[in-house]
Amino acid sequence: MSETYERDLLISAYIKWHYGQGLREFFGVTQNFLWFVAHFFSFKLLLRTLFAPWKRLGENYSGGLDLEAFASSFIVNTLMRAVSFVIKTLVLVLGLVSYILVFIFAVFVFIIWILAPIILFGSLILSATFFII
Amino acid sequence: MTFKELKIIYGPYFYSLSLDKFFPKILRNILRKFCALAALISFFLSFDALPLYLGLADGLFFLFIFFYLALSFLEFFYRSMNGGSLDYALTNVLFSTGNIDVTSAFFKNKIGMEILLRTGIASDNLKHFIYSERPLTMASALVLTSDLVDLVQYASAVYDVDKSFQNFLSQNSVNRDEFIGAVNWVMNIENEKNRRDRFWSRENLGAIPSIGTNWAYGVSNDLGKFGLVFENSIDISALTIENGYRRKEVATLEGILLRREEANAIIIDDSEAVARDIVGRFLKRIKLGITQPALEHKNIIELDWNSLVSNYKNKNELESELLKILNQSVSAGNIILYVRDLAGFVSGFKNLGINLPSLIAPYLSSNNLPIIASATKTDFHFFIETVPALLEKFERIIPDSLGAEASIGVILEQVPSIEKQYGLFFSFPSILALANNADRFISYGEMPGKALDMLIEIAPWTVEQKIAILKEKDVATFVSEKTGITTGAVEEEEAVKIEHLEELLHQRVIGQNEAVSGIANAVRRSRSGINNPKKPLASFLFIGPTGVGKTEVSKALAESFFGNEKNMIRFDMSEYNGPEAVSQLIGDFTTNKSGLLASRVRDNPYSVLLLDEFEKAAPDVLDLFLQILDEGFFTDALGRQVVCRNLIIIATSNAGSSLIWETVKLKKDLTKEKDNIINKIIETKIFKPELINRFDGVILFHPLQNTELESIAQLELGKLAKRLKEQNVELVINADVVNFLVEKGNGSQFGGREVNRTIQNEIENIIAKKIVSGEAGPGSKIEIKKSELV
Repeated sequence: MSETYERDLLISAYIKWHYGQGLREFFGVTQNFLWFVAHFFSFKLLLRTLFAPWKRLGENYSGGLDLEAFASSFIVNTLMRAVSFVIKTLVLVLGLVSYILVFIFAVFVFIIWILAPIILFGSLILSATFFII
Repeated sequence: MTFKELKIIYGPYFYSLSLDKFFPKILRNILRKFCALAALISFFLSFDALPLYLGLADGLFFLFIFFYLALSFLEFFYRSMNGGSLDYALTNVLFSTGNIDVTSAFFKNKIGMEILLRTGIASDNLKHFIYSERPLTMASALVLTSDLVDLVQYASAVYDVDKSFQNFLSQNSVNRDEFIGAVNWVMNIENEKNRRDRFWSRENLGAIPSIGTNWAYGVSNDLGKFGLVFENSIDISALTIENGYRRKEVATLEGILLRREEANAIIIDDSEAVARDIVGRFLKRIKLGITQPALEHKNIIELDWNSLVSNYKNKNELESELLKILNQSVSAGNIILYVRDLAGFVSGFKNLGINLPSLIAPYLSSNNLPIIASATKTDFHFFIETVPALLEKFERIIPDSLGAEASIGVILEQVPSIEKQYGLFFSFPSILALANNADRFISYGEMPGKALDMLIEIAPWTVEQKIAILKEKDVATFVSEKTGITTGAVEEEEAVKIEHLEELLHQRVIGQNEAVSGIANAVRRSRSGINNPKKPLASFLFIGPTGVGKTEVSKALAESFFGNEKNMIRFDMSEYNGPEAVSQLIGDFTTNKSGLLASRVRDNPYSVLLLDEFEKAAPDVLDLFLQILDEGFFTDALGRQVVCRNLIIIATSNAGSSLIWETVKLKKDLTKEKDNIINKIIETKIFKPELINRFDGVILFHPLQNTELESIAQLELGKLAKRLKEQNVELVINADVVNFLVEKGNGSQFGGREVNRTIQNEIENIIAKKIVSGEAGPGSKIEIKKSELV
């Protein structure tokens, strides 16, 4: 069986992993999730088309001196752009909040990750003291 | 790389597997969730202000937090160690493999078991092999050539080094390719499963659709009425990008659609499914976000021009509706239009007097509205190539037609869903057999479409036959049920039949030993699978005078090879000697008429094609057969391919029969004179030498000798006697009658046919007179005397 080849004990292999490959993978996964939030809320596309009319709706002004038509298409087009701006901004704000939350969560997990031995050991000690007291 | 080095590389990954062994995943998950819940509850119970205050809750909270964190870290460790960049399937196999007996270790894990199932070998057989006395293969004997070893390379190394394992597999009729193919399949399935489990990977996260991607694009109300979302018509989740299937075509399509102008492609293939498959794979790339940025967020909409045309009967209305749709699509900005059957689209509009090519020319010239169209080869040549306005605007994509081997990948894509639907299990050899048989025996359509159709057909059949694991021989049975051609391994009963084929043929054919043995040999070659699959099953030129058994041999062949003498297509080639001959056979484009040969071969693709009096056909008909004999197919006037690879082609001719007569009269050996006679036929320019060379065999039929005529007379009189017996009249066959018939046959050019004719005209007349006059009635005997015969 495989035991013929020397292998580290699980615990020492784990510690090596925790501060080496594990940490690297943690950063990788964090990046993936941040990328996902940006992708899910279409940051790039929405920013690029922030002032574009909503679903390309609008009226064409055919030129000439027709004040009424000019005014009507001006109003409609401005309205469409305004609607688009408001909705897209809302989504962008929501996305930004999510992005920040994910980031804060990642920092939180990172701290736990780094301090894992202390936290694990500490929680055991604390639990024991409560039982004794 | 040595085995030891390989194990060291994979070493760290064994932790997750040993963890699974001693602390199963389900238990870990339950425990972790329990700890989380318990920590939460004890947290709330620890506030002394609450009525449910518990003194020890603080201690319990920290205890559960400890376990929860420890288990979570362990889980992260497990997930990180479980494959990832390395081959997950190989990890499993290596974990159970030690230094001694790598072969049995290969199957002692879930991956190995899966591979065994996919080879179609029963696990009891493997057990027998494992516990039999056999030389054990040491790990150090494995030869791993590459530095990047995956399961396929590892399995090949095991196979190559263990001779007894090779024998075991071949006893179970699994060869190297089939074994490695099964390994490859299982490896891909397992690694794919593992990849999907890693939900945190960018690939899986990216597959979740984003919000707001279509807010920047317009909507097309009228396209909604006549446009079908392409994604709904094809299940793109089943398509895999990794297997590289149709990669070239999809890349070409992408390149064309990225152009600054005339960004239109036309996919030319006789099967619409091929075009849809390519567009589907392209769409999958868009959805995965791995196309060029310019094609991101694009949506493929199929224009339903059939209902568009049927909804508007007025030319102007239809014109303006189409323009409206196209304009809206352009302004939407993210639409790629798919038009199936472009030729039909054009002619549909033409019927209402609309010149579609010039109407849509402005759209085709720009890249505002990329269009993908499909057309069959024929339609493309006749309807699109002839309209420069269309031809210039569309870039052509002609999908490669695939062989059986290249189709395996795409068949395997479809297998999981079919297995799930019908509750079946396909062995890998059965998939290989399916692809090969479909390629070879299904005349209509192209690969891989033919194989996929067969896959869909075989599933319910398998359920009907109550087969749980589909094996190679089941596919052979299915194919012979479907086509009438026996394929697959030669069964014992059939082996006897094939071995004694000469005797079987001789039951119907008298004499003609050379012809019979030549044909029997050809059949044996075909059944053993060593003949060229790109040609007809067999082809012969029968030369000899009339009435010597040429047709009878053909009928006997149809019966012994296709199971019924009716599986025969017969043409009297003397009818095809005029200038119209070829168009009679392959059809005529101008009148849109299908040809006789084309339609009859299409209706009976598995049969004997008998061409009587071949030498009398027009020279261009002979040239047509030159191609059929060489390539195994021809193209009819409407541009459709007619496959002749499942035919036995027999051409008969009595050219040179006078030479044969002379040779026989001079008592020379006909087999020795064969070359001379054939040379004479070539010299007289009856057949071109290249045509004669295309036949698998030229077979000379000699005129019938007295003994053979006697046997024929006996045979035919026997048939007559049988008919009479049904009326309770007994016919006595005496030497007088037989001799009379032999004399008649001998003195005539028509040989055996003269014997038949004499029986009909003279013997039957005499008997009829006797019955009518009351001389012979039911229960009586009829004997014809010499004096009665004239």
